[in-house]
Amino acid sequence: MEPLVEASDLSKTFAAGGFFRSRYGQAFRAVERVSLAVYPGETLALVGESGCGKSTTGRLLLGLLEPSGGRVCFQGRDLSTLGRAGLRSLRRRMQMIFQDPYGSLNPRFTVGRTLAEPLRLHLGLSGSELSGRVARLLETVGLSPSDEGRYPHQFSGGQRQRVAIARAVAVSPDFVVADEPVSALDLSVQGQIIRLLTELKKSLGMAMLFISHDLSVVRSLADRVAVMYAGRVVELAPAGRLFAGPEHPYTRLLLDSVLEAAPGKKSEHRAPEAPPDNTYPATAGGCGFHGRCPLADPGCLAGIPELSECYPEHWVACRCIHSI
Amino acid sequence: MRAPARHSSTLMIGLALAALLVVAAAAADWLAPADPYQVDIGHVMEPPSAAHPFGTDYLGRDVLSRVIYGGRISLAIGVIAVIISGLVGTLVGALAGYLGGWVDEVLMRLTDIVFAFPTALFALAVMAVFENPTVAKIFIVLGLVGWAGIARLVRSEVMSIKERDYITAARAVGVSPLRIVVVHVLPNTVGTLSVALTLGVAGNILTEAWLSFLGLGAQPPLPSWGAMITEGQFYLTSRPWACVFPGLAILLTVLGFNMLGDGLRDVLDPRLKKSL
Repeated sequence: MEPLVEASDLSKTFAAGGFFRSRYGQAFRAVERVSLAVYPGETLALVGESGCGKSTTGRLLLGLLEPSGGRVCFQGRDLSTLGRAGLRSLRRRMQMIFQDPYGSLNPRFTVGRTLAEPLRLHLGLSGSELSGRVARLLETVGLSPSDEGRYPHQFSGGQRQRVAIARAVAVSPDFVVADEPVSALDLSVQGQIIRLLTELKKSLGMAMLFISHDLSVVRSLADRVAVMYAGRVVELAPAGRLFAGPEHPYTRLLLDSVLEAAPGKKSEHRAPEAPPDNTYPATAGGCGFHGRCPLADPGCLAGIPELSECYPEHWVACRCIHSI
Repeated sequence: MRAPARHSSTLMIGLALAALLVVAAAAADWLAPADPYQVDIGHVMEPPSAAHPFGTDYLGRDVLSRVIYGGRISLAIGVIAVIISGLVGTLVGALAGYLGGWVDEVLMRLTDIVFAFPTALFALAVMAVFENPTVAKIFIVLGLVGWAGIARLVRSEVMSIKERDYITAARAVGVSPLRIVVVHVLPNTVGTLSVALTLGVAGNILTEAWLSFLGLGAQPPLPSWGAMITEGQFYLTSRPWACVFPGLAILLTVLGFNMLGDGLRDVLDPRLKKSL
């Protein structure tokens, strides 16, 4: 099958701030040579700790950030060749849901106005047609059409996130990036939002990149999972396979940290505390995870491991794991 | 959190003083007991009396009437100059803040130059270029000096707002950059801007007063408060009323607009707005 969105060798480096440049003359490599594909209708989860580059990857895939290297193709078309106007018209096909529902809605816009914006822009709707569509959207996400005239601050966090989801699906996109859409919400609300996303995904048939640091959320809705560490994808596998048999030592650590909540069982994979190595040029060569890796040996410093297929459809970037 | 009563009292006193000035300026023709330009050589420098509640000046003109009409000049200068500097400052600040890069660099260095330039020197230059100073020139001087502060403020607001998620969300939806600035960014600076503009009115009235005091602003026989103080300064120790009343008018007006600005800032505080 043709991928809907495909990133090849994608990199993003942020220059260190001007004032501090003389002192800490290093750039931050947020994303380093990431290659990913999202297929039509699937949910690809992108997991990893904060600062590992998952949000940056999401924004790169939507063309909201310009890559420092590599490229992103949407249905085979390179985003960087589209130009500003071309990219804007493509926005009808790809949308985004943000983490913080308090920050992602314009406080001076009524909910109706927020939802009308993409409809007017991409579908050219106006008048009663527009207001009818807005009312139906609000119903779709579990709000009342009478909420249309209310402002974001009059809603709860979960309701706001419903509005943000409505805005993202307003123009029936093919691809949605959901950047930690539930991590700012109460646990009780998280489930509702996840259920809403799952339903919408099914009914609209859209593909989703679901960014999260919470593996239990990912487990319930992802088709495939990509694990990122220090700007790189270190493991990529179908969800069932990844949760049943994680290969990369970092993925195992992540899964253990979820299980640690269970009382009695102590984890065997205790990680020594060391920050991920994102500096550029790299202070130490080799695998970015070696400082925390329980399997690390001097050989890990020799080179950066590439993703290789250890089982069919299961890719891992670790020299200690043997490929098929 | 501070007591809400305090905000509203600051705001209310400011609003009352500003309203007093506006009403006095609007109804000057009815409120003023005498013609502010009527010279009466028989009654110069008379102390306050029933006929002249604020006394008369060195030409026998009624000080109360001149203070009331002077409010028109002060208010007109304060407000019109703030509109000019507000428009220029918002445009420059929004461009610099949203576009960043070299546009920002150029516009902000320009702003620095305007900031560094002494207002009196600039006023002197403008007055020298155009002969016989009129009130219109004071608008231009104050407007062209005042925009720099507004530009810096708007720039920093725009820079902080453009990093918010709802701006990225608007970009993700496909809204054009111009529309993002006009519809999404600028309306969210209105709170800060209205505070700055109100304080700007006070600043402009004060600047007009000292420009006029130095003879660079409104010219005789216009009843500008600053010019009135100049005219009365020689009698300040023996017959102070010709100076004291316009001085008090300046004090109360500037105080009023400053309190109005401070009160607005408290009311428009986003932390308070969230709880509304």
